[in-house]
Amino acid sequence: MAARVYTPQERPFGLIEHVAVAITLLQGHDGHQHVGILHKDQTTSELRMLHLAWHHTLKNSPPKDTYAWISPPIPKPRARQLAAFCRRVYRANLSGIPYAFSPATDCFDAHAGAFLLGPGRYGLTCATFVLAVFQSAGLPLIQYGTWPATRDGDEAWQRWIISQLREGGASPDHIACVESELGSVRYRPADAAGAAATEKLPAPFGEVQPLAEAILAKLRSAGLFT
Amino acid sequence: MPTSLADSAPLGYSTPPNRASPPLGSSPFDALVIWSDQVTQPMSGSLQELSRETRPPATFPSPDPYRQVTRSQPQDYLRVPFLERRPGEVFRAPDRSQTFAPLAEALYPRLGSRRGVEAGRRPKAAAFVEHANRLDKLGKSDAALDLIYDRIDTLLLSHRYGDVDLMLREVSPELLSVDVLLGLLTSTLPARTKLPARAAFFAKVEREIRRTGAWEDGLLSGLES
Repeated sequence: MAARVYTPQERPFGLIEHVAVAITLLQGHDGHQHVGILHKDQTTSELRMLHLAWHHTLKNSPPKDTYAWISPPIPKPRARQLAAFCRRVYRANLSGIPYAFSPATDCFDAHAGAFLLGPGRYGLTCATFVLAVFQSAGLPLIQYGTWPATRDGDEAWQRWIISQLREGGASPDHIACVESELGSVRYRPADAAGAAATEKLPAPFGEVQPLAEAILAKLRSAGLFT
Repeated sequence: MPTSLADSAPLGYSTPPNRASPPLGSSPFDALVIWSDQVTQPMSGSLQELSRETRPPATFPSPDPYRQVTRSQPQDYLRVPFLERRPGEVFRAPDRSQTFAPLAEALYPRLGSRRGVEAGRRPKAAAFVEHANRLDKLGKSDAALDLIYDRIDTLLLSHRYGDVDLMLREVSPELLSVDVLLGLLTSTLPARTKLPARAAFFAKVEREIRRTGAWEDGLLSGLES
């Protein structure tokens, strides 16, 4: 079983000191998952979940108890920084972040600061958003070069996302941008969660995959659907 | 090429009023800061050695620490040998009688409102770090970090890299908490390639944290320039 992976019933969210990765299964979506970052402001003791819910929908809300949480292997002082970084990302992106399949690396390089997107990047998924936040705080979760170029179901999922964006009224320009990223490497929500459950970051795919599978199994057995 | 004050206006500078000459003994300066740690030739001297040269000496350090003094006339160089051994030092008002006042008064008529010699108070770029440190000492570490992240982020989004770089040169790690130091390193990480002073700041932070015994494995991993 993956280490440091807890359901709220096993360990309540209140035990999170600074940050954790949160993941759930999506009800009625054939095993699709959603992932975000739980972060606590020690001054106010408020715990929030920062996550990219959808196209231009960045949320920072109290977590639901249908999420499991994973405590990443980072020193506490760095975890505090990550929590502060989450607060800043939310404050600076109140109008949301576009949804697309751009890579999570160096999202802050071209335009230093709060923007997660640089030139040539069209948007993030819920998983790449989590990866990008960790990456931008100097705490990369995964070794990107070890990720497979494609896995079963990735392209079908990307095509489904594009159809959902189109149905949801995303602009034709944005749709065209996202279509240009079709076939790019997919980082799944369980990948981000699995990486957080490893012992050392950044984690290679070979270490993350079995942990990701174990986390999904735990979500299913605990009935953690959102 | 390191950013110099000649190339970017620093944040929150208060320049002296543009007067032709101040009355003796009434210099408006409260503090004087020389903005460089690039001095390569320790020199001795006194105020009498103040001289003006029409072109830089062949051995002039690079980047030139004096260019900022004469930023509006970059072909001129004001040599201040007395200060060459004390780059980055803040000369405060209590030092006035000994060294500061005569120097300031010697400089003032020449400098007018030029930037580079700071008058009045420390730049706000460093002041907000001091404010954050005060919050941290009051037990409001997260509020301190919010201040740092917002401030740095705003500066970086405005492409005011020179101001952030200047702040990194100015702050004294030994006066700041580990949380504040990590906040400065983390918030400036996205712009690391545009901040020449960040590498030296990182090294100072690592030394200071090790010195205080707060070091732990992985504490600074990923924050290098």
